[in-house]
Amino acid sequence: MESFKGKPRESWGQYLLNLPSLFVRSIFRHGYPNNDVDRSEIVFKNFFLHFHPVKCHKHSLDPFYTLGLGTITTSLFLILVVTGIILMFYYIPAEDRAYDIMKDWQDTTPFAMMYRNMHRWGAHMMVLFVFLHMSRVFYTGSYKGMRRFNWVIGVTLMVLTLLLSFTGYLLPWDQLAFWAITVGSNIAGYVPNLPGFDYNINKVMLLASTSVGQDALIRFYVLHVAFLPLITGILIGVHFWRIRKDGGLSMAPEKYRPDPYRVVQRSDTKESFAPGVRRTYGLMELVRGTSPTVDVGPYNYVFTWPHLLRAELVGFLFSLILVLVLSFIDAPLEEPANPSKPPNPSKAPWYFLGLQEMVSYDAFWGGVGLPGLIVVGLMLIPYLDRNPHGEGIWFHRSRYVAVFLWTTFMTWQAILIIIGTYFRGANWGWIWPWTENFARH
Amino acid sequence: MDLALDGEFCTALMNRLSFGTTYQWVLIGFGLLATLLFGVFFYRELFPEYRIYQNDFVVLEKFRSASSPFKEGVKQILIEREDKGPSVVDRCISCHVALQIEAYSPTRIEKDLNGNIVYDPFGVPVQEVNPDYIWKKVEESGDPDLLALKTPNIVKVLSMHPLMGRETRPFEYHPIEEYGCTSCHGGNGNGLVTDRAHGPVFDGTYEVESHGFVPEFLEKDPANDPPFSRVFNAKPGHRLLFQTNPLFVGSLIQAKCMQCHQSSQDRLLNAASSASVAIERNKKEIAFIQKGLELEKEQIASLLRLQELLKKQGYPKTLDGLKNLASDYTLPQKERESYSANYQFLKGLTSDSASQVIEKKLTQSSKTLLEKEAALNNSQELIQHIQDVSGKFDLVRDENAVGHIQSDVDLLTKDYQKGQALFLSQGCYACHRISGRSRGGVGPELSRSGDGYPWFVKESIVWPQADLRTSTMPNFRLDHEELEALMTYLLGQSSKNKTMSDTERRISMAAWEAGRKLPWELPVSKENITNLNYGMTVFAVEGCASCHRLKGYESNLETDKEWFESLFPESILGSQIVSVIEKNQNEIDKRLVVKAGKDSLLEEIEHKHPGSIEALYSNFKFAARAKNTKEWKDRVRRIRNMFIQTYGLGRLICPRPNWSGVYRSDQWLMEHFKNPTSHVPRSIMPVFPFDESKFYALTHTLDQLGEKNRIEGPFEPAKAYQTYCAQCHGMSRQGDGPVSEWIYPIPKNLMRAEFLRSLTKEEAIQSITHGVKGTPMPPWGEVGEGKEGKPILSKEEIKQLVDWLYSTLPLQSVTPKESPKWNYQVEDVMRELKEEGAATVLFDRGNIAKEYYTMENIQEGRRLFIENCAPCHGKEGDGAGLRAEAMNDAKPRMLTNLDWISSQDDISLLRSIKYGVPGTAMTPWGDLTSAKQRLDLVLFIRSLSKESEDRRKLTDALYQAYGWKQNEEREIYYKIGIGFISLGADEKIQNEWVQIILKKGSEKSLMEAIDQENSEGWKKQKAQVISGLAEIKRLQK
Repeated sequence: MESFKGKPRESWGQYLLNLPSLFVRSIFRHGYPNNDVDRSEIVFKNFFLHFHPVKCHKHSLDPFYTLGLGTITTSLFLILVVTGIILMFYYIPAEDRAYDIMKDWQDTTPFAMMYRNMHRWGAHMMVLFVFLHMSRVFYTGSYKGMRRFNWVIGVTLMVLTLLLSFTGYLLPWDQLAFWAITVGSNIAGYVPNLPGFDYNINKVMLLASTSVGQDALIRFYVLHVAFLPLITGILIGVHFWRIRKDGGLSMAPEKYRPDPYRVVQRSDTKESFAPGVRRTYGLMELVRGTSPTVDVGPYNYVFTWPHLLRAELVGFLFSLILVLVLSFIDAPLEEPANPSKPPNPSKAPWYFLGLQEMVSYDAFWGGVGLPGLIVVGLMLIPYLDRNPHGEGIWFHRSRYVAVFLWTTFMTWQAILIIIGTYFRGANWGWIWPWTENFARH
Repeated sequence: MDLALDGEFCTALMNRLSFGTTYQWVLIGFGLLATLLFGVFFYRELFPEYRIYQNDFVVLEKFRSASSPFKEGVKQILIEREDKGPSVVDRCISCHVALQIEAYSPTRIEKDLNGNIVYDPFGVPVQEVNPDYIWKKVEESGDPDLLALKTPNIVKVLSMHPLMGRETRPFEYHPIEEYGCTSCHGGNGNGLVTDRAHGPVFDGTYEVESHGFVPEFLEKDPANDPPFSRVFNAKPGHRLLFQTNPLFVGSLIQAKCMQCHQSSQDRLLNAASSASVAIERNKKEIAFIQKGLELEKEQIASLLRLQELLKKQGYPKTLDGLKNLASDYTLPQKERESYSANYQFLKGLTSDSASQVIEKKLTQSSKTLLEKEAALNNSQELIQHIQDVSGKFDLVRDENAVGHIQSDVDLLTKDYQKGQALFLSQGCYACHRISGRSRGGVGPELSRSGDGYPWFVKESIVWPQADLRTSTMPNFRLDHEELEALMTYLLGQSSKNKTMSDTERRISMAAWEAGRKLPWELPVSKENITNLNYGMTVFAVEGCASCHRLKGYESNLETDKEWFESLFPESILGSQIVSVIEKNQNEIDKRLVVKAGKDSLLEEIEHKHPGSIEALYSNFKFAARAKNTKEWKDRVRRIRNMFIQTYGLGRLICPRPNWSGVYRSDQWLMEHFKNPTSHVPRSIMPVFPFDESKFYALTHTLDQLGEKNRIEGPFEPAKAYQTYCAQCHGMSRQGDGPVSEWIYPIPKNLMRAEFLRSLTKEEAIQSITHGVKGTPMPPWGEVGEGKEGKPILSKEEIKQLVDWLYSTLPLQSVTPKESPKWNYQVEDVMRELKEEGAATVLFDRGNIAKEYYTMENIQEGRRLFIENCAPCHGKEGDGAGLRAEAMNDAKPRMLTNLDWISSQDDISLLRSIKYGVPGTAMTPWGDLTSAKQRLDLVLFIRSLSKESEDRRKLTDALYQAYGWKQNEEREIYYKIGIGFISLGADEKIQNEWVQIILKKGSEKSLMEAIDQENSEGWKKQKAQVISGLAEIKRLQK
C-alpha cells in the first residue's frame, strides 16, 4: 500500500523554475491584487499598508468631503522629512558656518536650491494645511463622540507643526532667521518669570542663553531635526490609529441600509458593495467600539486597494506638485545674521505675525495669555460642544453658532496675520503696502 | 420596490464607477505633472551656463588651431584662508576661460626691433593693436558660424584680463593661482551662474526693488553720461539682493586695492608718525635713565654724609642721631623714610666694618654713576639724530610735494585718492567719522562703509533721505565722476584692511583718539590768520564751500558783468549752459577774455587742489561732457570760473556768507563756528574740527570779504531783493529760495497777503534792520558789534524795500494798525481779567511780573499746553508736534528757541495766542480760552525756555566739574538736578544745587551732600528737597 510520502521532493530543475516566484513570495506575502483575497492580503500583510483597513467606506473616498486636507498635510510632512534629511547632509549648525554653507550649497550643488525651496515652502504649506484641515474637521463636526480626544491630539500636532516651523526658521542663520527668532523668543519671554531667576526662564529654556546665538542654534537644530519630528511622527501615528479604531473617517449615519440578506456579495469586482455577511472577523466581536465590521454589515465598503490608496496617492501628488510649483520661487537667504544691525521692523515668521500684532497691543495678553487660552480653548472644544448633531456633515444647521464662532475666530486671526505681514512698517507703525516703505535696512 | 432599489443601486454603481475612473485620470494627470516639474528642475541642472562659454571657446580654439588641450568642466581655484577656515573657492575661470591667452586681447605689448619691450617715459610698457586678436580673425574669415558667436556677451566673457600698470602679461604681479578673482573683484566665487556669481551690477539692468517715487537729482544725458551713472542705482530685488557680494565694477575696484596697498602719501605719513612714536618711546626711556641717575647721585650724597658723620661722631652716636631724625615728625615723610632706611642699613653693620662697607659701596656707586651718565648721553645723541632725520618727514605734510609722488599704487588708484580728497573738500569729514581720519559725530560712522552694499552707499550720497527720512544731510548733487571717486573711497573703508598689522593699527588709533592732529586740524601760522588768500582757500577746499556760496573769488578772466549775468543766470541747468554756449559761442570767446599773464586765486586753488572746485558745479560738469573737444572743455571751464567770480564759490545749500562779516560781530561768527546751534537753532552746520586759529582766519576772511562784497551803485528794491532776500525767500517771494530747505524756521512767504497785513510795515522794517533773533534772518541794517562802517542796507533803503514788498499787496485798504490784534495792550488784558473775575496781574513793561510765576499757574499752563498746543508745537514746545509735518508755509514755532523767545515780550505772545498768526496754521484761540488761561500758557512757555536755560547752566556746571565723561553717578546727579528744575523748585535752590554739585564732586553720596550742606537757604528748603527727591524716585520708577 502506497503510503503518503508527503510532498514529492523537488528536483533542481523544478526548484530553479520556481525560484523567481519563490523569491518574489519571500518578499511579498500575497499574490498580485487582482482578486479580493489578495486585495485583502496586500493590506494586512504589508507593513507599510497595514495601518489601513482592508476595506473602507466609500464615503471616505469622497474628495469633496475631506478635500484631502489630512492626506495633504501628511504628505507634506513626508516631503519635509525627505528633503530635510537631504539638507542635513550638508548643514552644519555652527554660528560661523551655517550661513556660508547654506549659501554655497544652494549656489553650487545640483538640485540644492530645489530641495531647499521644497523644504521651505513645504513647511509654510504644512502650517497652512494644518489650519485648513482643522477647519474642515470643525465644520464637519468630526470631533464628536468617540473622536473627542483625537481632536486634542490634532491640536497638539498643530502646535508641534508651528514649533517645527519656528525652530527651522533659525537654521539658515541669516538676518531674516535671526531677527524672526529674536522676536519669537521675546514673545516667549512675556510668560511671567519664575521667582528667583534673573532672566526669564522661559526664554532661557528656549534659547539656552539670553539672546540668540550658538547655544540657541544647536538647541533649535536638535529640536528641529530630532526631537520634534520624532514626537510629531509618533503623534501622527496615534492620530491615524485612532481614526481607524473609530471606524474610519467621520460620516453622517447612513440613511439607507439594505437588508443584508438580500444584497448579494459580488466578489472579484472593484465595485464591491459587499454586505452579505453580517459578521466577518470573529475577534472584532469581542471588542467594544466602532470597528466597521462589528454589528454592521459592510455595506458601501470598498477595498482599500486600490480605492483608498489611489485617493491617498492623489493627495500626495497634489502636495508634491504644489511644493514643486512653489519651488520655482527661491527661498530667501538674506544677509548673514548680524546682532548689531536689527532690521526695522523685525518680523516673526508669517504664522506668528498674528501673535506679534497682538503683542503690539499688549505684550503679555497678546503674546502669552491669549495664545495660551486659544490653544487650551481649542483642545476643550469637543468637551464644550454638547450638540450631538452634525457629525460628518458640512455646516450642519444645528451648529450655526459654532460655525459662526469658528469662522469669526479664523477670520480674525487671518486679518491679524495679513495686517502684520503687509501693513506694518518701521517701529510697527501702520503703512500701506503700496506706498514706499522707508524701513529697509 | 425591488426594481426601484435595483435602479438606485445601479445609479450608485455607475456613479462609483465614474468616480473611480476620475481618480484614475487625476492620478495619471498628477503623475505626469509632477514628472514634468521634476523634468524642468532636471533640465536646469543639466545644461549649466558655463558650458555655453566653454563650447564656444573650444570652437574658437579650433579655429585658431591652438594646440593647448582644453578639458571641459567646472574649473576652480582654491585659496587658503589665513584663519585656517575652509578655503575660499573661486570658480570664475569656469566661464572666463581665456583670461591668460593673448589672442583674446585687442591689444598687446609692443616690442622693438630687438624683440624687447617698449616702455613709455613713465616706465609703463606701451601697448599696440593686437594683430592676432581672435575676433578680428573671425571677422576676416567671414565664417557665418563663427560670426554668430560674436555677441557682446561672449566677447566679454572670453577675453584676456587687461594689463594693469607695469604688467607685461596678465597676472604678472598677482598670480591667479594664488589670488583667484574674487579677492580683488568681489563677487561670489562659488557661483556658476551670472547672477549668482556677479551679483546685480551690470549695466543697471537687474531686478530692482520697488521703491515708489524716486526723485532725480542730476540731469540725465544718456549719450554722454559715464558708464558709472548706470550702475548701482537701485537696491536689487529680493531674488538678487543677498545672493552675493556684488562685483566691484569700474574704478570701484580700487577700493579693493587699498585694502592691501597703501598710497605713497599714507606710507610716508605713517612713517612720520612711526618715527615720532619711536622718539616718544626713547624719550620715555631717557627719562627713566635720568631718574636712575638722580637716585644714584642721591645715594652717593647720603653715603658721603654717613661717612662724614661716622668720622666725626663715631658709630653709636651716628646711629642714635639717625634714629632721632627718623622719628622726628617735623620733617617731611620722605626725608624721615630715608633716614630710617639709613638707620636700618647702619644697624646691620658693626662699628668696625661700617666705614669699610661704605667705602666699598661708594666706589661701586660712582662707577655705575659714570656708566649711567654715558648711557644717557648716548641716548640723547641718538634721539637727536632720529629727530634730525624725522624732521625730513615734515616734507610729507607739504601737499605740493606729496601730490607728485607717484608709485604704481598711486597710478592705479587715482580715483581712490580723488575720493579721499573729495571727502575733505566736500566737508564729509565734518559730519562723518572714519577712525584715524575724521572725527565727525553727526552722521553715521563710515569706518566700515566698505562692508556694506555699494548701492546703499550710492543711494545714501545721492539721496540721503531715501533710507532715513529725518536725515539732515543735504543733497550735494554730486556729479557721477565725483560720486564714483567718493564711493571708491568709502568702499575702501573696511574691516578687512591689511595694510597695517593689528598692533600697529591699535597704536595708531590710540594716538589718533588721544588727539593726534591731522593736517587740517593743525593750528594756523600767525601770518596766515590775516592772510585773505589762505582763509579763502580753506573755505574753498576744506568743506565750507560744500554748502555755502561765498563771493569774492577772483579769476584771471574779465568780461561785461551784465551781459554775463543775462546769459548765465545763477540757477542755470547743465543743458541750458550747453544750449547758451552753442548759441553764443563766438560772442563768448570774444568777450570772455583772459587777463594777460595774471593768475588769480581761483586758478591757484584749481592748480593746487585739482578737482575740488569743479566738484561743486555738477551743471558745468554736465556741460563739459556735452562735447569731447579740448576747446569746448576749456570754454566751459572759463565760463565756470567767470560764474564763480560773478555769483560766488560753493554750493547754494545754506545761506550766503557774503556779508556776514559786516552785520555779524566777530564774537558771533566765532560762536557760530564753534557751536552753530548757539545762535541759529536747528542749524545743520557741523562743527569743523579746526583749530581756534583757523576759525580766526575764517572770521577774518569773512570780515574782509564782507567789505569787499558790498554792492555799489544806485539802490533798486527789486534788485536788492534778488541779491539779499531771494536766497531764502525765493525769487517768487514765496519763501522757497534755494537755501530754504535746510533753514529753520521756513522763510516767510512774502506773497501771502494775510501775513503781510498782520505784519505792520514798521515791524517789517524792524525785522529787516535788526534781523529776527533765533532765526537765520540777519540784521541787514546793523553793523556787527565792535565793527565800524555803514550797514549793508541803510534805513532809507530798507524803507524802500518794504514799500516795494507791500506794493504788490492786493486790497491795501485794511491798514494793519487798525486790526484789533495790534491794539491789544496790557490794559486790555487787565480789563479782560476783571471781567472774568480773575485776580489781576501786574505787568512790567509788557512782561508778566515775577510774582505771578507760581507752581499752580505753571502746572495749569502745562495742562492747557499739552491738551491744545502740543499737537503742533510738540509736548516739549520744540515745534516738532505731530501735525507740524503737514505744514508747508510755516512750521509751528520752536518755543524753546531762546534767542527768539527772549526777543518777544509777553504781551506779543498773548496777542499771538488770542488772535492767532494770520497766514499760518496758528488759529485765533481768543474764543476758546479765557484771559487767565492765556496768561498761564505764557507762563508755561516762559518756564520752558527758563528750564532749558537752567539745563544749560546745569550742563555747564557739570562740564566744569567732570568734563564730558558721565558715569552712572554723575548721571544720577544730573537727573536729580533736572528733576528739581522740572518740579519747579525755586531758583535759589537750583543755584544751590548747582553749587553743591560743583563742590562735592562725585565722591560724596547724595544724601551726605544734602546733610552736610548747611547754608541758610538750604536749611529752609531741605524738607522740600527731600520730598522732591522722593517724588523724583517715584517718577523714575
